[in-house]
Amino acid sequence: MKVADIFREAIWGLASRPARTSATLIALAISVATVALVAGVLGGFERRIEQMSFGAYGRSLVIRENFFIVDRVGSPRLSDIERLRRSVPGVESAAAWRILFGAEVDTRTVHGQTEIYGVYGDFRREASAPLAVGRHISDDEASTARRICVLGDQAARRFFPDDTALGRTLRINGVSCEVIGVLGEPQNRIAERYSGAILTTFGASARYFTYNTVMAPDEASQITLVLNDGRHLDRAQMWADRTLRRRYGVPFSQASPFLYADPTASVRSLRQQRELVARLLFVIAGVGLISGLIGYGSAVAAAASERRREVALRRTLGASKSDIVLQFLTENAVLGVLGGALGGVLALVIGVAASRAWNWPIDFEPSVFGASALIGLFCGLVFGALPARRAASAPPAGAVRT
Amino acid sequence: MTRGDRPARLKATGVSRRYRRSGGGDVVALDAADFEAQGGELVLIMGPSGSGKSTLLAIIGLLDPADDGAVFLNGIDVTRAGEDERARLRRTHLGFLFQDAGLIDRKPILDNTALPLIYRGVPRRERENRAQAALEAVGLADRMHHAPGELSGGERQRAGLARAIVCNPDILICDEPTAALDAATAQDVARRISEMKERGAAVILATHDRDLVPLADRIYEMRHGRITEAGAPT
Repeated sequence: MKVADIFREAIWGLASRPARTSATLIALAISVATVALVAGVLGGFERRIEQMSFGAYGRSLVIRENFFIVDRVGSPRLSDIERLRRSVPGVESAAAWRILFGAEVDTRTVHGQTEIYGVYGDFRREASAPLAVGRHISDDEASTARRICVLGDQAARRFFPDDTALGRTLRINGVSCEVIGVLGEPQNRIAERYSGAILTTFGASARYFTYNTVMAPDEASQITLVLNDGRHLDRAQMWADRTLRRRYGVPFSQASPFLYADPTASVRSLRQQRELVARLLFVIAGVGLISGLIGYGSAVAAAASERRREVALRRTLGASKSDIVLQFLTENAVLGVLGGALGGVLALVIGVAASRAWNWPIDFEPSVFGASALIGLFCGLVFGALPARRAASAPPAGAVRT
Repeated sequence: MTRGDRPARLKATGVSRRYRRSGGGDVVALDAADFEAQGGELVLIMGPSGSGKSTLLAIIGLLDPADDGAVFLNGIDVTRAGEDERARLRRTHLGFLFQDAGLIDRKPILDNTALPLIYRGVPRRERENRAQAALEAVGLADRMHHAPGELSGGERQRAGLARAIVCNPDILICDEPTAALDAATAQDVARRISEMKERGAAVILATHDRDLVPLADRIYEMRHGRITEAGAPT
C-alpha cells in the first residue's frame, strides 16, 4: 500500500465520522490547552514578578571596590565602563553610581538626612520610576558638574511638604542644588530605594561628599552592567573580572581587586518559591492532561472497535496487518497533531481573553504551538498504537460470518 | 492433478476446523472436507444453516487457517502460509462477494469498488478507470458516486460483485449472494456471477438457493460440517 493511499484512507477514516472525530479532537485539544495555558501563565507571572521585584537590577552585574584586600587598586572608574562594554558579552546598558549615605539636606523650612546618588550613563533603567514633574538628568549633564538634581517622590514630599519642589533649590552638605525633576511611583522594589533619595550629576556629586578626598573624580562607588539575560551573570562576571584584572595588572594568583555583587541571590529564593507553585500547577495540569488522554484513548479504542467489520472487509480484500496498523496510526497521528495545534490555539485564545479580563500576564513563546502539536502527535501515536494493533488483529473471516 | 495436467485452481483435502466453546470443549465446524474447483467452473456449496458452508469458504478463501488437512492454490500448498502471505494471495488471486455485499458504508460505490486495487499498489488514476469499468460491467455506471445506503439491495449486490471482479481474480468466492434478493434480482445477480466462469475464473458459491443449481458444474452438499455429496448436478 502506498504512503499517499495510507494517508488518504486515514483522512477518509476521520472525515467519515465527523461527530466522533470532533469529540476526540476537542478532548485532546482541551488537555493540551490546559498544559500550554499553565506554561504560558507561569512564564508571564515569572516575568512580571521579576520585573516588579527587581526590574533591570535582577539581571545586573554590580562591580564595587574590594575593601577586604591589602593591595587595593581603588574604586572602579568611568573609563572602565567602555572597556567592560566591549569585553563582556550581552551587556544591554551600563551606569556608574557615586553613593553618599546620610548627607545633610537643607531647604529653608526642612532639615534632614538622606542618600545622594551621583549618576552617570544609563542610570534610568535601574532607577525605574517615571517622572512625575520636570525632567531627568540628561546623558550630557550626568558627566558635568552642574548642580542639578532629581528628587524621589518621598524626598520631594519630605523636603518640600507645602509646595512643589520643581525649580526650588536645596543645600546638600552646604552646597546648593537646583531641583529639575521629581520621580513618580517606583515601578519595582529596587526602585523604591530612590524614593527617599536625591539623584544628581556624577560630576557634581563630589562637591556634596564629605569624604570626596577619598575618591578620584572618575571613581564610582559602583558600576552596574545590565545584561540581556540574567541567566548569564556568571559568565559576565568571569569576563568582567578578567578585563579588570588585565586593566589593573592583577594576576589571577591574587584576590580580585573588585567585588561582584550577585543581585540574583535574592531573586533565587523568590524563584524557588515560584518554582514550587509552578510544580504544583504543572501537577494539576498534568492530572488534567492524563484524565483527558484517558478519555481520548477510550474514544480511539471505541472507534477502532466499532470498525472491526470494516477492518475485516479490508483484510479480506488483501490488506495486510501492517496496512491496517499504519492506517489507524496515521489517523491517530493526524488527529493528534490537529488536536495539539488546536490546543495551542485554544490556550492562546483563553490566555489573551484572561489577560484582557483579569490582567493575567501571559507569555507565549511561538514554540508553544510546535510543542503542543508534538505533544498531540505523541499522544496520538501512543494512545492509537494499541487500538491499531487490536483493529489489525480482527480476523478477516469475520467479514464472511455476518 | 485433475483434468489432464492442469492443477485445480483451488483444492482442499481433509480440511477440518474446530472452535472452542465458551463453556469448554470443542465444536467441529468442518470435518475432513475434500473440495476442488477448476478454472471456468461454477461450484455450488449447498446445505442448511450451520452445516459448515461459511467455514469451508473461509478456509478455501484463505481467510481462516484449517486445523487439519491441506489447501492448494494453483497446485501450490498454501496450508502453512502466514497471515501476510495469505493476505498477499487473497489480493492476487481471490475475489469475494458477501451476502450483504460487504460494502463500506460511508465510501462511495466507486471508492468501494477500487478498494482491492489500493492494496495491490495500483496508481489512483488507473484504480478509478478499472473501478469505473467494473461498475459499467454490472450496470452501475450511473450510481458510482452514490453511497451504499442510497442503493437498492440488488444494486448493492452488483456493486459488491464489481468490487470482487475489479482485480480479475482467478477465483471468485460468493457467500449467499442472492439470499437477500427478490427472485428477479437474484436471477440477474446469478447471471452476472456466472459470466465470471466464462472468463476462466473458478466461481464458488455457498447458497441455499436451489434455483442456482442449473448454473453449476459441480455441487457439494454439506450437513453437520461434513460434505455428504459431491458431483455434477443431476
